[in-house]
Amino acid sequence: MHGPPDRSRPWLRVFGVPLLQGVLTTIGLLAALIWADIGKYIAWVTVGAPVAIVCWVWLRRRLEKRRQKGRASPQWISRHTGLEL
Amino acid sequence: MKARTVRIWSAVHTWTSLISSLFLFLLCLTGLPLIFHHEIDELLGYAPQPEVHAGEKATTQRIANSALAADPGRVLQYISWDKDEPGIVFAFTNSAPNGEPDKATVRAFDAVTTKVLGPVGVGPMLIVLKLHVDMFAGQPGKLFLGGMGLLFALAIVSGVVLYWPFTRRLRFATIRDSASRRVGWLDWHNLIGVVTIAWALVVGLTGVVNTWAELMLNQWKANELAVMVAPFAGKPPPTHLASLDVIVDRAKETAPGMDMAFIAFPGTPFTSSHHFAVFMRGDTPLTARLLKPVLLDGETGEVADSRALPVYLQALLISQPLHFGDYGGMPLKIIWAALDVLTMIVIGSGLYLWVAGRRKRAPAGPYGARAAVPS
Repeated sequence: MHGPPDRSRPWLRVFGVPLLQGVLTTIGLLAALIWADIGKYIAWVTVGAPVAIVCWVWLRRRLEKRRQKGRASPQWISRHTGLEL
Repeated sequence: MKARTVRIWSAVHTWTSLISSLFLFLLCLTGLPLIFHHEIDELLGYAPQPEVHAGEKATTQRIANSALAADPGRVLQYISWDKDEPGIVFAFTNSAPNGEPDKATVRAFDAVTTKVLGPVGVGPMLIVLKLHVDMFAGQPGKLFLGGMGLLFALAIVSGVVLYWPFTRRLRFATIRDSASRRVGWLDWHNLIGVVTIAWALVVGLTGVVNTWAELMLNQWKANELAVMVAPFAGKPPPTHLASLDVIVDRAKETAPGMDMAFIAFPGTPFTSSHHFAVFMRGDTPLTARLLKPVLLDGETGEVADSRALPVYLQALLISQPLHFGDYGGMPLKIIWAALDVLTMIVIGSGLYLWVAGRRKRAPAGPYGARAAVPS
């Protein structure tokens, strides 16, 4: 769960992705306003990125949970399925 | 970061969020259908459709005649054109040129045949819009919601400050929902909050700017517009109005390469009692928002003055699409809606975390009814 021991630039580790995301969103919001056609496509990608990140994390968690259930102990399986292993 | 600093920022974040949460939730909830108001109006049959899609467009004077015939006994306030609806012209009529905006009737007219296509701004979306803009409380309601928007911005800034102590030991996007529900929701709250910061700040602050629209307009009238009409001070309201076709031709000559956004009739809030004001716009997404007023004599149609709007009004006009999200096609609208839903999740999870935190801190009852929530 804990991140790599990157003690030299902890600020970058914590705020790096959010900062990049924020800059990209701002560029996207302005791009559609300034450059009509190409700007629209830039906006779809950059403004939509936060939604994509949240979906990706949610899906990753679902898969991790499924994997954890797959590796459940015999006691867990017995309790939840009624089967004696 | 010192513990005391964290406590102070935590208090700022908690209280700015708590005070504004109910109203923000209302704004997000009403904002969601408003993103698709064109589509919803169309679906419910409240969106007027042009009859003829090709042919020579009728003159503005013919549209005005048709609008006055459709609403006898009333006067025209504005005639406007939507660049996304080239087949439709909108006309605003009211009991007087300076009549209350709420008492104005807006009708759509076919740009070719000048036939009435139906009323505009009616139906269920009007209720949603009023709830979103001022909660049916007029200007005080608008300013109040603007204040809530400022609290929201403060909640976002304090949230960014608190993101550091809460996540500095975690990899980005770590969700510890197997530890406890509260910790899991704290991680979701932090993640969704931090990735949507830029969008939430832009939409929140542009919403705040929009609540000041009337104040800005009054400022423009009292200063810039007053200077523009000063040489004509003391002139009475026109006894007869110049032909709108002359007004349109002269406005186009004054601002070549620009299209008309709307015409304000003499005596309306956007002009003086003696002048027409034709607001021209450019043809790119950005310049289409930046209006240029051309002031014309109400009786003769002579150009009186023309100058760019002041910076604060330009900022207001540019801030509007950034708030509505209607400038990047349907995909951007869908993204806007998804971000709106994510903001509601952040508000809801923040409220849940506050309640759960209070329960955790509260002493257990005589039978230990409240289980400790691991952090």
